[in-house]
Amino acid sequence: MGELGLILIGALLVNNFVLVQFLGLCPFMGVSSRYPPALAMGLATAFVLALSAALSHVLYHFLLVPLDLVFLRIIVFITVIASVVQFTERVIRSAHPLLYEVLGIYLPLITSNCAVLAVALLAVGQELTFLATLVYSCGAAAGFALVLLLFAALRERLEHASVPTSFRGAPIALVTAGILSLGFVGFAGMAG
Amino acid sequence: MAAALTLLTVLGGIGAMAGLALAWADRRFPPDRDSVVDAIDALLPQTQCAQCGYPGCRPYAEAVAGGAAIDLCPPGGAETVAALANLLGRPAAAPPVALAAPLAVIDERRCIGCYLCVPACPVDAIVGAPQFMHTVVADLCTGCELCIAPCPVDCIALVPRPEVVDPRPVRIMARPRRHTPEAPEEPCIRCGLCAPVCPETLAPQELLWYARTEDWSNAAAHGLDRCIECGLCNQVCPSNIDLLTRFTRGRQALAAASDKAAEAERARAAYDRRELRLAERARDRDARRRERLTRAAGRPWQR
Repeated sequence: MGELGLILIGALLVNNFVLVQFLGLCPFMGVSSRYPPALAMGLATAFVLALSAALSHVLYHFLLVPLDLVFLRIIVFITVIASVVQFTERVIRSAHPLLYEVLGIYLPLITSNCAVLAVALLAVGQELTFLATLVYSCGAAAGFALVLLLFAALRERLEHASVPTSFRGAPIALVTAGILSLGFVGFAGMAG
Repeated sequence: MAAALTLLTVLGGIGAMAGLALAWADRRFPPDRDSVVDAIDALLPQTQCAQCGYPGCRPYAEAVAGGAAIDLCPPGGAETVAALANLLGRPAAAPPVALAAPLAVIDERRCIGCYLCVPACPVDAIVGAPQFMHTVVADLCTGCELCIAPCPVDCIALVPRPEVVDPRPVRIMARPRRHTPEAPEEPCIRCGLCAPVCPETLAPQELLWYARTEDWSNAAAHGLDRCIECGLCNQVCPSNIDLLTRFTRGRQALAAASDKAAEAERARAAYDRRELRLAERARDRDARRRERLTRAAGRPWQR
């Protein structure tokens, strides 16, 4: 339990995939301009992340390793991720069509979110058990969603701040992301 | 070879599994477009004016859900654009150029008060009552053109909305009356200002000359009888000369003179006729007398 807790905290905060490992920056910048879509995107990505990591783990350990096809892991993982994203997209389009409209292109782009592939690869690379992989991917997913929500909240406030003209828009957002990243560096040494 | 076969089987198997799972998901979760359209439709003003290029608000909502531009609705204005942008997470075009809607204007001189345009207006921008002239409240009008077709006298026109309202008040040009009876008259300086303003193309300056000496016959020869006594020469005269009063007096004198001449003429004619009549009578009497004398000369015994 203690080890799983460390894995969770490590994936969630200390080695946060976005702000410490700088993975998945595309949706982090793209969908964080307002809070509700950021929440939806965070949840969707978290779902894809956890599910694809679990599926990848199963395929890797029960198919690729016995058949000695470990070198195929990247292409297999990407296939898994793409399928899970397509599945998520269909579910969202059916259950919440407005959200589907709002997320637009960023929903299929979860496929190319490097954080998702990274979680699957890193989990396999660290030779984690299935349960540990699940905890690890959930931690990473929660970390991604948390950072996305934090950043969206900050950007909503930034819209009402008087920013120098040359910094308006993307520049001040990147500066804010950098400062937020500095904050997360403070978690280093806490766990993992 | 065996390895390659395994590889292909594994990849193909994974792909097939993924495909089957997605096919099942497609059936299990059919896409629901209607709720998006409903949400968009709820934000539209429901004037059904079709200015967006679609037959009504619902078709436009469907088009927006399918990716059409969100700034095509003039009745909704910038507020609807902002609401749609918020709903759909799309950027709101900063100045919605497509929304510069024209303004319907009723030509009130031709309006017959038929009231047909009032029910046609989706935004109640036309005020008026049956048998009374109607007009359009510019702030409410969305330029939807729906009032134009019902008008039986074609008195409604669409005009471009004025960009900026000129805040200056309208000025009425009212020139002060130049001739004031209190101010003293000054000598005529022969500026000639009175000639071009005269609607009868007279020369008031010359007429004044004859009026000074009351030479009305010469004044009449120069057209005083054509003066309509409009007083424009008084208005422009820099010397404040009251030409009008003089001309009026001259015209009265001329009229009196012509009356007197006519009377004299009539009297003379009467006199002439009387003279003629008297002369005729005298001639008759002489003739009769001569006849009688002649007859008496033929009968000397009567003497």
